[in-house]
This record gives sequence, C-alpha cells and structure tokens, in this order.
Amino acid sequence: MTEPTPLHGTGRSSSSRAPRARQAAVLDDLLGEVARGDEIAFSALYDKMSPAVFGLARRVVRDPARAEEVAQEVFLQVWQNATRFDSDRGAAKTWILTLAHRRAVDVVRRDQSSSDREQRYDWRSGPDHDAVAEEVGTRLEHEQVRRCLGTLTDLQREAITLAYYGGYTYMEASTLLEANAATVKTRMRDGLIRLRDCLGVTR
Amino acid sequence: MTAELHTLVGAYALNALSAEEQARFEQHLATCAACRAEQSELQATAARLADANWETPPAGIKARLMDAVRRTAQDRPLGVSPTHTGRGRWLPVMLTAAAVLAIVASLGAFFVERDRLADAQQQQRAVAGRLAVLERQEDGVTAVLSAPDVRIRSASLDNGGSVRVIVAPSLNSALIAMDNLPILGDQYSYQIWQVGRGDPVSAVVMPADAKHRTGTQLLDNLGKTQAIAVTVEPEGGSTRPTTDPIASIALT
Ligand SMILES: [Zn+2]
Repeated sequence: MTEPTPLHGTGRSSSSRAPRARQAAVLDDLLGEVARGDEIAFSALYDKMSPAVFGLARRVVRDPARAEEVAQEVFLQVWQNATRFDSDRGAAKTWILTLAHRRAVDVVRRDQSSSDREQRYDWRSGPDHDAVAEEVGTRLEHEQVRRCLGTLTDLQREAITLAYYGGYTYMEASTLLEANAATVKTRMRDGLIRLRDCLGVTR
Repeated sequence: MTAELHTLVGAYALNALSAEEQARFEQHLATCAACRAEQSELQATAARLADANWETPPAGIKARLMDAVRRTAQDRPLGVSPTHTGRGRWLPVMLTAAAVLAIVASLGAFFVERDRLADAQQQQRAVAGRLAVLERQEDGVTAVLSAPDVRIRSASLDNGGSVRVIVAPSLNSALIAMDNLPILGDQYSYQIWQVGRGDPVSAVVMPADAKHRTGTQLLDNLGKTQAIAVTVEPEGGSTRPTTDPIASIALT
C-alpha cells in the first residue's frame, strides 16, 4: 500500500482558517434562525450543507435512492431539532454532519450484512470532486482533508476510513484489517488526533 | 477500567462502537471533562472527513423538504416511545421524521388537487364545493401530522400500490393516503369504509379527479372505527360494500 507524499508537514495551516471560521459562524447563525422557525434560513442552510450531507450519505450507503432518503431525513431532523442545538458544545456543521453520519451508518448496518458491505465497499474512489461547484476557499479545505489523511500511517488511515466511510465498528474493522481490536481502537483515536492537528481543528 | 474507557473516544467520534459500548461511553462522557473536551474536537475532526465527498443532491429533495418543513412542527417529540434509541443524545426522534417524510409524497396529491381546483374554481359549483372541502381539510391534515400520538398503518396492493392510514386517536382523525392505485374504468369508483362493530359506514367515495392513481382523504370522525377498508364500487359509490375490499387496515 503506497503512502501518498504529504505536500507539507503536519503543521497547522493558517491560510484557510479565517474563511473557515467565518463560514462556520454563518452556519451557526443560520441554524439559530432555523431554531426560530425561519424557513428562508432553512433553505439557505440546506443550500450550504446539502452537498456535504448528500455526498456523505452516498459514500456510506452507496445506493442513490437510500442516500436521498437519508439526506431528507437528516434535514427534516435538523428542522425539528434545531432548538436543541447548543453552540457551546460544537459547531452547527459538526452537529449536522454527525446526525448525517449516524443516520447513514444506521441505514447501512440495518440494510447490509458486513460481508455484503465488504464486497461493495469502494476503497479508494470518491465521487468526482469536480462535479460540484465550490468556492475556492472550500475547495482548498477539501484538498487539505485529503492531504492530511495522507499524513496518517496506513493503519490509522484505513481504520478511520473503514469506520467513517464504510460504517464499520472498530471490531469489524479489526477483522477486515486482520489487526488486534484494541490496536484498531487506539489507531482511530491517535489517527484522529493527528488529523485534528494537521487540519487545525479547535472544536 | 476508566483508562480503557478514555481510549474509546476516537471510535465514538467515528460512530464505530457497538450500541452497548456507545451507551457505556456516553455515561462516562457525562462524568469526564477530559473526554468531553477531546470528544468535541475529534467529533469536529471526523465531520471534516465529509468534506472529501461533496456531491450535489437531486433537485427534487429540496422541494419535498421545503414542503415537509411547512407541515412539520419543530422540536416536538411525537408519539414514539419515550425511551432513547441508544444512538446518542442527538437522535431522539428520527423515526418520526422518517414517518412524516414517508407520507409527504402521498400528500402531494392532496395539494395538487387543491391547487388545480383553485385554478378552475369559477368553472362550476361542484368544483368549488370540493375545493372548500379540501381547504377545510388542510388544517386537519397538518393537525394529524403533528399530533402527539400519530401512528401509521399501511397495506400493499397486489399491483404494487399502497394504502397508508395515518391515525391520530387524540384528534379522532385519520388521513388516508393511497398511492399507485389500479386505474379504474369510468363506471367504477374507489370507496373508503369505516369498519366498526356494525355494518361498514361509507366514509367517502373518492372523487373522479382523484380516483385514477392517488388519493388522499381526511376522516375527522373516527368514533369506534376499528379498521379502514377500500372497495371498488359502481360509479358514485354504494350504500354498503358490494365487493371484497382491495385493502383493509386495522387501526390498532
Ligand atoms: Zn474520560
């Protein structure tokens, strides 16, 4: 398995942090307005977040129709539960994507046996990145995620991607990776810590 | 033991724990500030992984969602079991959201019919009468969907169509949503019956406009109705069923 060469070190990137912070604040504000029943804010929030939510659903559940259902359910839940969002506990974007990930993983665990998923899991390719029109700042962030994934060890990266994109538990991932479960659990944690530092995530 | 629990934080942020471990770790989170701080950062890190996979969703999703949003009350726990699903604090009423979405497609027929009749309103009194009925029902539809005890019963038809009954006992009401029904000739109608102790009581003969493939009907006087039945009857309906039901749905 080849290790992609990192373009830079693992240091925090400061160039994209300002726009990201601004973008995060916009999303937090929109979700606050959604919590007050503002349908226009909901529409704007959908426009900003739906490519990430739908893309994640597609990657995890694979089936386009199921992914559509997941995306709809997640956004309806965002509408219903926006009043419970607590910005002290995290960013709106994290809240929404955590809902989306949990929903997608629930669906994939219910629909497909582990062996079935193993056959269907697409190890390397994501959807065509160029298919989505993105702002330049957003695009740089996406490239940063890929670059930072490249700074992990093979086992860290595989454990994290099997869990996040494949919907596997760490026990299932350890079987697929033929590694000790306790080790895989630990690699998920130290891999995420390395990613956090590379991406400059503060909360 | 506690040291071992700390190490679950990465797998937790990736949603990679079994249900039991997840519940155990969430108990731990409530008492461990260090894990809470780390979880918050690692959760945000995990969410960034979604950035590598953007994909534009089909346009129809947004239209359906905006329609659903207009008819869905916010932050109102509906009549699902109050016990937690065990999938975390952020997922309390997923089932309800899914249930609401499941019927929005059927409701589309209701509003399409209303809008179409509104355009043709001046043409004839019969149409105006039906429009008034639909407009009166609109509030009832919204009320049923957001009732605290709402539940859904459904039946599949041989041809692949379906009949769903969304019941709100607290409102003495139910919404019947029929999808992909077999097409009837001009000389037949669908008729919906409320079945209780005695003879079935006609609830409604599906109007000609709606009788082809889909239909939605609000029943606002369930009383002691135990089941909803749908039959094919001669045009205009019958005083009692003359054929076996194509669908019969128990409400309990
Ligand atoms: Zn701890």
